[in-house]
Amino acid sequence: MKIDKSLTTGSTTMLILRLLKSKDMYGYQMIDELEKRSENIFTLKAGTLYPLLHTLESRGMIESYDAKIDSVRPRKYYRITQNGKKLLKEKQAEWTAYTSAVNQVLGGMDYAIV
Amino acid sequence: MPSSNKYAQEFLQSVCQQIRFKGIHENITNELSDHIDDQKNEYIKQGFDEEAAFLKAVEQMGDPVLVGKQLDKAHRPKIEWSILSLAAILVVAGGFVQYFLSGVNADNSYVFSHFLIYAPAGIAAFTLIYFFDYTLLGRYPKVVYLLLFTFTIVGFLFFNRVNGSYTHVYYSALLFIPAFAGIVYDFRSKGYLGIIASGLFYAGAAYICLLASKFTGLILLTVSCLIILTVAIKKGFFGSNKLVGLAIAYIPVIISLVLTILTAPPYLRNRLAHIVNPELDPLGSGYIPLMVKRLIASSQPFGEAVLDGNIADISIASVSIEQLLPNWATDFSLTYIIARLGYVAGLVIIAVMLILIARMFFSVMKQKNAYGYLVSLSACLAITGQVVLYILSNIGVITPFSVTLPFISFGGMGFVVNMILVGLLLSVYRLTDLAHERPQGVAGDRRLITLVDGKLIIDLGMKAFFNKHAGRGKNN
Repeated sequence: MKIDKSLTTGSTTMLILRLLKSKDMYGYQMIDELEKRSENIFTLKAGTLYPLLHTLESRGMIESYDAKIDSVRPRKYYRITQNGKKLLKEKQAEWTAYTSAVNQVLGGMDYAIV
Repeated sequence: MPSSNKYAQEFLQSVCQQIRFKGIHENITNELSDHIDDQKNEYIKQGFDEEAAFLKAVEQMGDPVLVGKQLDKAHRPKIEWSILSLAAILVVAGGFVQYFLSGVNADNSYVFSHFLIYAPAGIAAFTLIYFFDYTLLGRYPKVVYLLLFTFTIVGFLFFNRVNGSYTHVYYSALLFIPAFAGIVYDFRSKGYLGIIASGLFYAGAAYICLLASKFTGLILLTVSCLIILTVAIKKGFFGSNKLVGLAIAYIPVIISLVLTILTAPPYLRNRLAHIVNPELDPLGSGYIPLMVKRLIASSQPFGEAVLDGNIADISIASVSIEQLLPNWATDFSLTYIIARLGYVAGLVIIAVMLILIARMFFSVMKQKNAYGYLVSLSACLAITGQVVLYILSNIGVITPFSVTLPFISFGGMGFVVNMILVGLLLSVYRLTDLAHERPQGVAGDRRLITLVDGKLIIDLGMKAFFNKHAGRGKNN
């Protein structure tokens, strides 16, 4: 299933931060992991991911370092910072408020779907 | 590593064309080409041939111009406003101080007009260094060092000794500190020999200070270089055992210190004794330190110090401060301001200086890579050392040295050198994102002595040392 792009862009930051909260990753790994976890609903383009990662890094939400962990070659890994964790919390709260509002509206119009 | 594939290369080039901050190009190229490689390998696994896999992997990356534009936005140079404005405040304060000093008497009226000449020169030097790609110092540290060395040696021909020492060497010593940081960076991951080689470069600069009898320069240089080296060893930049590394750095310093004290000629010992105890010669070498203490002790919160008592049968109150305190407009301008305007004015200057120092150290902490860390630390140490010595000698805690108070005290050379130092620090901050280095192949815990099959192996890291360009540049 392909999902309209405008629906995902706003939440991408949140998804990336959530991924990094579970463990440090490099870019390719994030895209891979995101596809797996979302059962192929989110196919994040590298062209969207890297500018976002670099912006988050310059805002101090994440940090990068080079390391050889899962692969033979050194990779640029990212890790979440304290500020990043705070931002994630805020984004999650926003998201919950938003989705429950959407669900309420959708739920109220159940008959329309049938 | 940048991909050799033509699709990948074209893609990476057009991404980089959009990014104005050139220092970040290599970093981004490495990261994106790693990504393309991973994606390509995935497609090969799925059964595509290499050519098709690359093409698909690059397509997957998206529009290079758009990606480049977004990355450009993420890498706008950063400005450390607090340091920049504190430095600006101090420069303006320096202007006020010189204006005030020039009004004291006719002999001194030239100082403000000199300030008006050297201030723009310093600001120009600052601007130049600020926008200058500071990584040049990392790529050619030995060239920078040699230029500075040559300039200093040539200076011996053009400058004269003042009070027995060459003043220009003091300023060279300050600039040798960042040059040394560049040298240390150059010898990173070179093990114990790297530490020794860095030490030799320090020794060269220290020897010049000795030749010029510029002991303040020597002290600032030695303490700063030792701190830089310690930090580099502690952070594992040399890739050697940390304790052995520290021993290599400190043992020669301690030995030379002990030897100097033991073999010091009588006149030097005598001088040292007087420095420690100025009361030994209250009207000779101890006169200035005692006078500084006296002026500080009798200073008021606002307005002129109230002095009493006699010096050599002359009532102090009948003599002006300018007559009591030699070098009041230069080496002791802080003492003079405290004595003339009150200690509140002095404390304000000291407070701004201390805030500046704190902000500078804070910006050093933010540096993510070895190079940015070492260079900004070096600039920070060079400025801090002067401030500490100047303040301590001007409030009578230590026997006066002839030092400069960055941005405030009179003197064109000092002003320009300090503007260069702060420019370097801010330039490092501006390019904080440039922070990326690939890990060095030889990093890790290397043992100095190992026992293998009954053979004692002493590993000085010669291989890494002579393998100079391994693990650097684009192909690592």
